[in-house]
Amino acid sequence: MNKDIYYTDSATVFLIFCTMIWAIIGMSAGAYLASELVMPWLNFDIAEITFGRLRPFHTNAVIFGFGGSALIATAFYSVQRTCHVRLFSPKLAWVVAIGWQIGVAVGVASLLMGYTSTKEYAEFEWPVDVAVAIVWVSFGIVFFGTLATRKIRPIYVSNWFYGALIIVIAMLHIVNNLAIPYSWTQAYPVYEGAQDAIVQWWYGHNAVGFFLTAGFLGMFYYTLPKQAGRPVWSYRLSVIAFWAFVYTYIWVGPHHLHYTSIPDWLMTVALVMSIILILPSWATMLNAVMTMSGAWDKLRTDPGMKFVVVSMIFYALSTFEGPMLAIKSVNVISHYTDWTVGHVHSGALGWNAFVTFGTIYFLVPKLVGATGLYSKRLANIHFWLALMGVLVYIVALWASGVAQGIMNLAIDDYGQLSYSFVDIMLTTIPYHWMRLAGGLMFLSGALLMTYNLYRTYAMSKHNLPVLVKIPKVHPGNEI
Amino acid sequence: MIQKSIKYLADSQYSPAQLFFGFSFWLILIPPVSAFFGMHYHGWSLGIGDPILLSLTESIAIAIFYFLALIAGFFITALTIKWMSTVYAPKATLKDAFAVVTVVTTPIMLGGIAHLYPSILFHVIVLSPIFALSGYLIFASIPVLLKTDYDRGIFMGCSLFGFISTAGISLLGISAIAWVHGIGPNLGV
Ligand code: HEM
Ligand code: HEM
Repeated sequence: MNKDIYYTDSATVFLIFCTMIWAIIGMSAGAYLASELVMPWLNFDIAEITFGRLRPFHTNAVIFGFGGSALIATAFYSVQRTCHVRLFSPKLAWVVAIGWQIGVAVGVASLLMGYTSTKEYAEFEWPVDVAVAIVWVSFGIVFFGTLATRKIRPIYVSNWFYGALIIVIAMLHIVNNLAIPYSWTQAYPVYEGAQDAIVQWWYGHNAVGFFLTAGFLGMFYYTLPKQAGRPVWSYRLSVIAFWAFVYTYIWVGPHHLHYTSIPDWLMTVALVMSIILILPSWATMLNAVMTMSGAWDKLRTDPGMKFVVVSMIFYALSTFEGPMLAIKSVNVISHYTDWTVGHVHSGALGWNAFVTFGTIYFLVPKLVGATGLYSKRLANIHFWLALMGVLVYIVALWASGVAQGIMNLAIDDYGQLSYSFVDIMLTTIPYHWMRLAGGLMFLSGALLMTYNLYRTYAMSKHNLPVLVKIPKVHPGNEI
Repeated sequence: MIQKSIKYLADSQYSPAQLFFGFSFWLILIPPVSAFFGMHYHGWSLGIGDPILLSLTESIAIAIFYFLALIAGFFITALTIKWMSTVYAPKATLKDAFAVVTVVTTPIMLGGIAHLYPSILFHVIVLSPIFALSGYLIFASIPVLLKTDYDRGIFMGCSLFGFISTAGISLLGISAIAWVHGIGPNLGV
């Protein structure tokens, strides 16, 4: 059999399986963390599951385990379809798929054991960092190799976003983690003091910008037009927004360091660039909205599309809230409060998780050769659970964040702080219960989804992988 | 019952001015007036410690600003609906847009009574179901009042939901800026 006339999707199937496993692990850890905040005895005095260790476990498991697997899976899937060619090296793709799982699993396990470099979202110690870098570069080789061997002349916009994800994350990961090892588990960072902080948040915000946004926009630009059965409304706008996005994002890191000992002009540049960032973000949103118009009936017939539509609302919301939080006089209230955590999850749950769910609901029946999902009803229940969950989550944290923000700063007539730390903690308890409820709803939705996907797979009569023939390139578009 | 009332509104004869001055205007008064009494006589309670009482002038100023913001929000939302309807509901007129804002904001404005007891937790508990109801009203009212089909209505509802929540967040941001600049609680910034 001539393999070259078929796409290769086995690594994608494996990665989607891992995505769902990481969703369950990471979100359960999130729910456990949320429970610890209201029932501190839940750590049972076991060091491995204290809040301080479980928190980075949660963030790394959801961002790199769940988000990362979903991004690599969809990149492998869509780059073939948009280039009309088989993956550059299916074997290397498998190495990436498995290597990524091992890297993240070892990394998060070592965090529980207490090995951490303490840089947020870059907590893994140097041996894991090196392994992750190797896997990531291999991902780049597979992706760009496929692009280079493409049969179709234009490079579709989703590939621009995935490409930016790969290049920028490689750069950020390597530069931010530069360190001089002095043992197998420990290393000295090459930066110190304020410089360390600046580099860290240059990494930190671009992890948000390129991992949690550019990559997911790539996913989105592939899935939405497919689901809607219509081309992107304005292709030109999508490419302009891409370059504006790449250029602007890279500057905004220092808005995480307002009122610290970094230079003042850096904070100002970050503030201004953060506000400008609304433009490319909202241009993308507008493009999405217009792409969807016309596909009116799809919302009723395609459960995945609901998720994608709602993800755009939360994308718009969090990219509006973010610039607002970057304004210094808002940040002085919001920093050190739940408001930030609420912002994080309106992006992470409402945007990243929703677009991933929508895409996976769309891809899995195709990948396992089923005619459709096992149950649309379950998918609809998942949709409502997730939507209610994220709304409850962020409303609770807005309220709690505002209360904390005011209490952190309130002074009496003598200029003394009006509230003690314990006062503030006590105030937040009801909101943290509410957040736990929202989180549990979100988690149970993800469990339903996993069951639904499993049944979809079990229902299909096909042997995996399903072979899909590469179609002929439209005349005039050949390379 | 809700469906019936919306249908009734769609079939009735009225002008936007009648709808606004005969109905919405009075409703929009509820939140600022309640807020004034709440802020001045009870004070905002954050959950612990004494409530933060505001002086008479400050309470009046905030209430007036709040009122103006609600009026502006009302009109801007109506215009936005009219603007969005070019894509989703070509048959809708400005009058229909006003009807939608009226329907959607009615529970929220009535819920403004909650400001009489200004506690953050109380507000979250009371206002959450009210906002959920308004969310439902967005989707229930658009197809009927804007004379469009159900599917397009859902899309328009999503867009409107995004617009309103963004406006809500900016209100939060504006409040934070106001606090930092000395309006409201006494902060050491
Ligand atoms: C069931 C769902 C989830 C629950 C219950 C949950 C819960 C939590 C909790 C309790 C924290 C700690 C907040 C604190 O320190 O006060 C947290 C932090 C965080 N979570 Fe989640 N989470 C969930 C899903 C997710 C997902 C899907 C993502 C990303 C894709 C995510 C990303 C993060 C990040 C980045 C932080 C750190 C926030 C910061 O430093 O400000 N979470 N989460
Ligand atoms: C235009 C876009 C955005 C801007 C300008 C922005 C801005 C901000 C600002 C100012 C903060 C608070 C910093 C602080 O006080 O410490 C923040 C925190 C955060 N944002 Fe955004 N945001 C944007 C979009 C997003 C999106 C789409 C997501 C993702 C899913 C996201 C994820 C996060 C995370 C994870 C944090 C917490 C970082 C930490 O651990 O402290 N942001 N963002």
